[in-house]
Amino acid sequence: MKRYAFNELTVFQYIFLIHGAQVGIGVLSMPRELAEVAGTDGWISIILGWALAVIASLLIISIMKRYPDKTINDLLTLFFGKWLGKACIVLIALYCAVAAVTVITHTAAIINSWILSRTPGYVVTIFLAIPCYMIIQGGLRVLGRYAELIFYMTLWMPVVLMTAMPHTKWLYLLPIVKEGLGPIVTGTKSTILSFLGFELAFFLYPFLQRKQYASLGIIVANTLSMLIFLHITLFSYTFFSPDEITQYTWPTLNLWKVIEYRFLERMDIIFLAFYLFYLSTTSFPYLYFTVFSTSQMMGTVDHRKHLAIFLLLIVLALWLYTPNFIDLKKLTELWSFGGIVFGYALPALAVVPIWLLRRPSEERKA
Amino acid sequence: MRLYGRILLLFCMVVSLTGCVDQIILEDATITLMTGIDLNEKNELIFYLSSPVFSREARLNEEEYGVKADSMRQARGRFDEMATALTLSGKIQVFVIGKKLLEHPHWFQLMDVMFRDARFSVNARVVVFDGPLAELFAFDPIDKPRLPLHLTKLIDTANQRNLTVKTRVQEFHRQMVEKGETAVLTEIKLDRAVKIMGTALLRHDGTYAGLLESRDTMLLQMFLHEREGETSMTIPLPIQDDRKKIVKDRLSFFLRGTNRDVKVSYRNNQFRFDVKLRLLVDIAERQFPFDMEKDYKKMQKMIVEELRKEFTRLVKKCQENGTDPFGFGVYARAYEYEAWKKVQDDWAAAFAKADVRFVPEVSIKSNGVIK
Repeated sequence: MKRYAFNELTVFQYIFLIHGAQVGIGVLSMPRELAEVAGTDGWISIILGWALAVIASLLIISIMKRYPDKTINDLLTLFFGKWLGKACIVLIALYCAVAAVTVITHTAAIINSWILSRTPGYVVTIFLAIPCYMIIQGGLRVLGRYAELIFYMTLWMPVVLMTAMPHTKWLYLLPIVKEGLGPIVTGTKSTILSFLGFELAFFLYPFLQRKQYASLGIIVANTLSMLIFLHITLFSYTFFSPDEITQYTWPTLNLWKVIEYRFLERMDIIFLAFYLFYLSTTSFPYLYFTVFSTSQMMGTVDHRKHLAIFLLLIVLALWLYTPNFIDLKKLTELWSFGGIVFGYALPALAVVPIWLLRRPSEERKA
Repeated sequence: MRLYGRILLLFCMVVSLTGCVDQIILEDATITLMTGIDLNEKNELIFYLSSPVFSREARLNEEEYGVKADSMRQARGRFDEMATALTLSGKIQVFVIGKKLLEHPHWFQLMDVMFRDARFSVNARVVVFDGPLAELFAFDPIDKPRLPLHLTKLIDTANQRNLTVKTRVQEFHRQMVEKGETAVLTEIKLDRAVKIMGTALLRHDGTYAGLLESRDTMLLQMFLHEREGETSMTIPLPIQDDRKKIVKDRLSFFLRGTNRDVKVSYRNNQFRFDVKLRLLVDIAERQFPFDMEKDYKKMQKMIVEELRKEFTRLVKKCQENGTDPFGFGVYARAYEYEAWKKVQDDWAAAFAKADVRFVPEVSIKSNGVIK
């Protein structure tokens, strides 16, 4: 009965997988994106975005609770039948692929403009793809362990960032709610992408060992991400002047540039090198679930072949065409759109019919 | 076996990383420690660079170049044509601007590359040099270390005693872009030795507005940073009839702590700032007889009066030359947002009309170890 028992996740692995998927490329540009819309009130949007994400997460859990041994892919086949179900799985695989590709291309672009400006993007991607394959081929449990490890490994970051505290000016935050509620609500839209990652619960739920902690775990993951977003955003707002912050593409990285010790300059490079781990915890789960879906659809158990092909395709694509910064933005928007559908709209729409089906049973195929 | 295979793979990856195209060997690098921009007599841009030379055969330990160019990136190409190796911009410590350049508005655009290129260091100290930059870069005293290092030390330590400000490139960017404050830079001059003149005031468009001497800089720093570094002020006090004495009635004190409180109000198209400064001071020097035990309140009052006078004069000076180094605009935005929105694009004009009142509160905490 338990198809996924082999790859069970502990509660911590579940939390950090979701948290890792949430905190990724969004953090680097978030302060600017929010400031463009909501000025220095952008941090309030984060809290609103968090509330939305928690609601959507809880809806997802409430759906998955009814079918504790099934991933979203199994559910779709169950509800829509074999062929329509497969079409849906293709869409989901595509969504995960877009997310993974977005993160990987962003990673390559950031490395390109910040550290290795003359190394071609595809070479960077090859280097990213090798550890990618090594970790993801191990399956979901390895991914969970990896996400947990990375979280502990990067705990020093906020502490070091605090050393830039004397340069901050909290006066920049005043007045709070300066232009009314409108911009703050609009700003929430741009936090949606950053909170994406919770929708992985659609896949993760059946793997979770102790399912009674599913809701609590996802709230913890969301809150953890919210705290990181809030920390970075508030810090950027008080460090940069409100007139200035909109000029930086990745204000978070500029923040690190001023930290300097007698024995060490250019902290931003070191931060970025470590941040690559954090970015990897975003791309890995999406990569995994892309190939998980495709291999399930093809009826193969082994996801490794698909993984190798997918990674090769990414490298090949980047070798043929290096995306410019406009393409990157379009990719992000595409992912955002997909995320709104998959992460927010789908659970909101699905929760009603699933609640109406009182007793979950195998026979009743809607 | 598989584990070893993986470790081997990882090892190969790490090793091959060093083969990236961007690697640069230290021998092939000319590390720029100091760079500068100036105008010559014909109003052409001249870029300067100073970099240490690590070679036993070279007799001087530094190389300096000045080239004509239209932009910093273009200048880099010219430098590469002359300097021993490839010029690098990641380690710049001091960025010098000729005072002549500051006569022209919007010169700040020249610094664009420093922010656009992520590999530029943003921690260089920005300095105004009074005189032709060529002299500064050619300056090579025998009793001082390499010029960039000497300057770095000079600025840092002078800033520790609050004789001048220390504005780094990143902070300078903020001061230039922020609408509610204007930039302040260290000003130096060459006079047998490099001497710190004080703090240069810049208008919002980047033009030079005036010089704050070290005394005024202390007041400014007191306001901006409350208590940072070491502040020691000497002020004249009108105790007795001011006769022609050699030993004047002077009192020096250390600042032990500061606390500032700014209240903003807006009435009749005029901003009003009430600045309350609470100072805790230690008397360091007193060149006249005074009964502290009995009259210390009187002494506090005299210091208050003197400081109030100084502050008012300083603010007036800034208002007259169209600058706001205090960042009163930031307070205006924080507390009177609606009014601020109307004047934000020409804050200097609005600030010139503003009514700024200083109310220092002094409390003497220590009188030294003699009576």
